Amino acid sequence: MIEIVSLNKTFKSNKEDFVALEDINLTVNDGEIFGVIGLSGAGKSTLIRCINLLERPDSGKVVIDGQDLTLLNKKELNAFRKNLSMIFQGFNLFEQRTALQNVCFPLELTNVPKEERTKIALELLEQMGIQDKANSYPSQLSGGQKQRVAIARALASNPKYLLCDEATSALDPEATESILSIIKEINQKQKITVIVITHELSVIAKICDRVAVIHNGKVCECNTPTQIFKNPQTEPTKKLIASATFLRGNNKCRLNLLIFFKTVI
Amino acid sequence: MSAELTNLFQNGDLVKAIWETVYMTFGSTIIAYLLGLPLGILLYVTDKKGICPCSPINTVLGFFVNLVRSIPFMILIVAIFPVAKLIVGTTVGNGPMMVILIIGATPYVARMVESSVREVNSGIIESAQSMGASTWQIIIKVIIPEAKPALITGSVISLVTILGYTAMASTIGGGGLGAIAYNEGFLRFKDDVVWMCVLFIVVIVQLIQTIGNFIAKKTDKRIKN
Ligand SMILES: Nc1ncnc2c1ncn2[C@@H]1O[C@H](COP(=O)(O)OP(=O)(O)OP(=O)(O)O)[C@@H](O)[C@H]1O
Ligand SMILES: [Mg+2]
Repeated sequence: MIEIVSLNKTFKSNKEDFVALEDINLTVNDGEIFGVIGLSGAGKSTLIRCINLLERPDSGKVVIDGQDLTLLNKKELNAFRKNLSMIFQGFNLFEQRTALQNVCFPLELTNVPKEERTKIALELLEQMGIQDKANSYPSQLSGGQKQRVAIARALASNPKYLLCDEATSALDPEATESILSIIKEINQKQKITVIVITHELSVIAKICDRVAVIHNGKVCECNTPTQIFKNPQTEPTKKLIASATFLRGNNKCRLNLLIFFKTVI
Repeated sequence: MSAELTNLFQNGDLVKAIWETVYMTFGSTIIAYLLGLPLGILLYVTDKKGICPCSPINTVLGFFVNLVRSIPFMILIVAIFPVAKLIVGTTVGNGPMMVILIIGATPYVARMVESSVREVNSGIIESAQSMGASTWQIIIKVIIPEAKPALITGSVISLVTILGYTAMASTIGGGGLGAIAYNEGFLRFKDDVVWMCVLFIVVIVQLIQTIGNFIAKKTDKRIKN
């Protein structure tokens, strides 16, 4: 379980301070896919980066499985981060390593013997359906394939949590679809708790169990996607839904269709 | 062709000078890299936006690097002759020249390394941090391998610069093409001796550059093939 308790983050610059996150309180339950949605600049990335302390909050707690991460020293934090993998919009693969070597990286960090880590990495690439790309370099892969490598790499340390920062925003609809179904699958089969950051409502609709809407650094609403779509409570949520292109036109009908699909899947 | 030039060819002095230039250049570059690579990386990681910010180290190191870099090499040679003498025990010959070359080249190499590793995408480093890599692991397993092509290109540029330093230094003491060009050519008004030395230096530079570019290109996996 991830608990974020009265978390604040301000970026200080010479001119003026910028409050990126203000009094955030959220709980992510084990086994769920938790979405965070908001407009550009709302503070989504800052929030997810505060969860694994890539960004250190000014105040507040990030409690994961009972452990407040802000209290850990550097070494303990590094050890804890193996539980808490992250994938990025820009993939962030090591460009001078092959797909296989990329997936091996987290295992190298913990000195897993070479043979064993190659075996694990190959299995993961196979699970992602790209075992034939094991010896390709990132520059030789498509966006969708790169994100699969990134997911395989994220899973290599056998994490309990997966943080996804706009993992599908750089992908075309088809690749987005396949990455989302991979995320859904690892959530269900491997019981990995997932936090998905996105600005696309469709991502929320397709895979999330619960969603928090974030606006100007504050959480303004947190509910199931169905409730958020059907019954938005706050102005920012209403605006987000109104602006969603996939809900334009025959709004009600598509919404129902979506909800229908969600309950069926 | 003047008699002096023919003589330099025949008695092997020219070949010896080429060899001296090459080994002083490569020798001092290698040692400058052994010192400059860690310094450059230290400059990078201790930067305020680096992975292990440490302002005192960064400021002091940066100051010394800038200090040496800001002195024209010709002046530096004269200024640090006494230091070289202390280290090697004599002020003539190739030994003290190498010491001077290394002192002059190390800060240059450190800045070159710093700018090469700066090119590594910060997102890549962040992803390594998110996986729980320590600072040391990030340096060894991420920054250096990812910056390798830039580091190689940088070392080629450094080699060429240090070759220039070598030629300059050898006009003052020590052997090499610079010494021949100055002592046998310039001081004795034998233009063809000077031009022959220039020609050889140009050839050496071209060779270094071509081979270096080839290696840099071969090692860079970002290029689609
Ligand atoms: N290192 C930083 N220094 C100063 N300001 C920052 C920094 N990082 C983020 N910000 C500011 O904080 C705000 C929130 O940024 P953040 O990246 O979290 O937004 P986001 O919701 O992820 O947006 P997007 O959808 O565009 O990725 C932005 O206004 C941004 O300018
Ligand atoms: Mg973002």
